[in-house]
Amino acid sequence: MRQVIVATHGGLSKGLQSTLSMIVGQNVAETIVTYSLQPGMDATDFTVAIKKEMDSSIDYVILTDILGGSVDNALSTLLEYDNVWLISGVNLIMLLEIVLSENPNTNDVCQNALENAKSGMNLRKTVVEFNGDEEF
Amino acid sequence: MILNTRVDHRLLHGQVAFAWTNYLNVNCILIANDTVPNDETRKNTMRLAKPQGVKLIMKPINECVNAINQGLTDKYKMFIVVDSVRDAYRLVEGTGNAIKKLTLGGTKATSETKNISKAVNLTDQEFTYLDELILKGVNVYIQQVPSDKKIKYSELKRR
Repeated sequence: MRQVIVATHGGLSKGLQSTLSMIVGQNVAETIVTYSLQPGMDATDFTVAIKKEMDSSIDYVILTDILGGSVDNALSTLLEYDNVWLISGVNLIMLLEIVLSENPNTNDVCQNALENAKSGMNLRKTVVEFNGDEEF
Repeated sequence: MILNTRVDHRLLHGQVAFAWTNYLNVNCILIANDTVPNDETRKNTMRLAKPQGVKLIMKPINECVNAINQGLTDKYKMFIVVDSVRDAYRLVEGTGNAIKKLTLGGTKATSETKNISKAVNLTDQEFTYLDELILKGVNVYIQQVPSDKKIKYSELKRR
């Protein structure tokens, strides 16, 4: 089993969950857990909350917004557990890849999600000519 | 092999690309539409939405019908997307019993349509087409995303 956790500054995590719901449906979106750091809150409280619920038979994939940000820093302490993976720079493609994957190997799933999330970023200024195979 | 045929007025977009191709495990998406093949801009948006490792083909309805009838599509695990009930009807009409499942994913509301589910709106003519498809033995469902419960068109109270 795998549990996806999205933890961010402000409402980004909840926004990603809302968009996930639009794309793959509410029941899938509800399987992820979100944490939103608001002014006056302490991200280490997230760590405490996650630790309290943790189950050694579950793989935890934690997605944070900024590498080295306060949320990411706080949650990185969970890396002492073997069943925790931490990915920073969360985006929608990454989240979709992980949530939809049926591959039981969490390490592979995280690697693939990271690669695909990176390749989904693309700067365009002109229409790109296409010359691939689109015939039957 | 045709795994499913979907009516979605937006054709290929994130929801279809991610959720459906994963769920159905398809390796080919066929956009059957008479205008898209001549519209480079729309073709490009479809290409961007296409998941990696999946082949994308965009052809007018008559060419799709011919390809299916000639067995050119047999080698694919194929998901067909059309943007209207009428085009779905034309495909079924042209291809005998190659299409057995039709999913109504989304059709736009206009002054002439009746709303039958959150994202599906049908004109009288479209109801007639769908009724005929049911008679031809096609399973018609309403289902926006794979995790939604399937609603059988034939069991809907309507009109």
